[in-house]
Amino acid sequence: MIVWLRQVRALAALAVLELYRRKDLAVVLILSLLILCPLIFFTPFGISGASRYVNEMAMLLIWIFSAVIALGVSARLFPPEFESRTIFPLLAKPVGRGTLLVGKYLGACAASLSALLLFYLAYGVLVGVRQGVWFPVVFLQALLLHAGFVIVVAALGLLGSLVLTPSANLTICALLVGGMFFYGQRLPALVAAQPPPANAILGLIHWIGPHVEFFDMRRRVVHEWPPLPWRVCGAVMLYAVAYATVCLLAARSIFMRKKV
Amino acid sequence: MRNRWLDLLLLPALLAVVLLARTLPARYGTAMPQVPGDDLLQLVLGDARRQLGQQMLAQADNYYHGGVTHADCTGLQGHEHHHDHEHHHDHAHDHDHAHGHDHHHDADHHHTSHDHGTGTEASFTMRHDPWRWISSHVHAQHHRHIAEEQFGELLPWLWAACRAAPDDIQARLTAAYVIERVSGEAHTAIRLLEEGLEVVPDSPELAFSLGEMNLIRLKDEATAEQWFGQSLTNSAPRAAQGDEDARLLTIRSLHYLAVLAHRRNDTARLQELVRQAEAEYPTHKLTQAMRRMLRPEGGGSGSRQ
Repeated sequence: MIVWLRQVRALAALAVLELYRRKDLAVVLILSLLILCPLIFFTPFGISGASRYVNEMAMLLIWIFSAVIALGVSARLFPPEFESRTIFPLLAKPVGRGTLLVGKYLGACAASLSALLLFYLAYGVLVGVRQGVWFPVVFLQALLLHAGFVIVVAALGLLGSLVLTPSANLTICALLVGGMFFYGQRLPALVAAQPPPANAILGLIHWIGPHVEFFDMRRRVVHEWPPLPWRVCGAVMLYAVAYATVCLLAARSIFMRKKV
Repeated sequence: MRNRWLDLLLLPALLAVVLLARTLPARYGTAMPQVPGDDLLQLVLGDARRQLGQQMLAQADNYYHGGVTHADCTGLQGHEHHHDHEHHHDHAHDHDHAHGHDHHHDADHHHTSHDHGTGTEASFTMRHDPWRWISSHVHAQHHRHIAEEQFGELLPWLWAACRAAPDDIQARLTAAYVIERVSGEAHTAIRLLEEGLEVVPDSPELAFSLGEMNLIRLKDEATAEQWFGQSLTNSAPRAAQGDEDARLLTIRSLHYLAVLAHRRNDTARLQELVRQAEAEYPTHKLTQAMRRMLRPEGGGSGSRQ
């Protein structure tokens, strides 16, 4: 067990190092600063004091960049190993395929979550300095649920990387996540409004699609809504873990059968 | 060496291109197929500016409702709520709300919130449809309005709406109202309305709002009277075609003009205005109020509407 844990930790550490070596995070942070700085000093009609639009823009950037990082990191876990054939020495060592999969997935999660933590820390400081509100409960809940989003997206990206080409994987995952993000909440209404063949398809999507919109607490944070009940938070996190587990089990099944 | 000479040939070619670009529009100005744009936004977006402006206005409306969107109101709950609706404009009840759905509210209820999230949606139990249950708890919220001291939060979106669509009357009226309420600075609001009137000179709404702003905030009766007169002139063509909004603006402008005439004891002008109102709107309450101003002991109703 200890050996297995060591192997998983080593594999995960590699994925984290890869993210920071590629300087993606630095690019994303500089881009955020370039977008947010002019907004912070903007005074519409010469009247200052508005802050929610900056918070909203910052949260939107966090969501976009966290999705890009989670998808990018998870989708790059296996294809380069297959292309450069470095998967052979990895598997030749006493590392099982399941261990490799779990280690790489945990690495993708750790890398994405570390970036997410950095984003939220910067956001929390921005809000604290501007509005004097330091890390309220709803903010911590938003971070927790956003972590759930990262867990699901990383699992989807990893699963896709084993069955699709890298570009197809990124495109399909982005469409799936984006589609569910914008329309997931309206799916029940759409199911009710459609005629028979279409409503069955939409119903299926409603039941098996990744409901990433569950994790979106931007409006609660920006508009200072009250925190979620913790049981709802728990239910959402349970959903995230369950969905990621299903994706990982499917990925394991595919990876075990894959000829390398 | 030969390559260098070829490179140098680029310079005269570049010079020729620049000269042609400079001379052709000057020489064949009116014959050119392109029409010069007003500004960069116009050039890039064209008619999409209007749509963009509407989106910005809708965003301001969402902010006014504390972030509760149409999806929360209609998509999930599937209910309608009818309240009488005077959100942003306690002074301009002829004013459409930023979002164009059937969504009306009672009188002035800033600082209020009423239940939106516990209707149909709450009846979905965890066992019935767990995804919907989670979604309803994460996203659905009480219907609310932001407090008046937070109205400044709407300004960035209203500014963007006015910039994106300078001819959007609704955006300008809302922005002027919010500016005045937030800063108490009527001059900025008046400038915004006047800029709008330069773009849409035949708008009775902008002229009427300018009249109210001058009368109520600046107490400048002479300027207000001019604007109400212009509102009357601007609304006449639309009112003649049966436009209810324009008709309402006409009678309201007439009433304001009558109040101002009454204040300076200009009976002849007052009689003329009453005649005009009686001809067009004989049974309207404002016409009755104007009639009362003509009575020797009357006039109490006309001081401020």
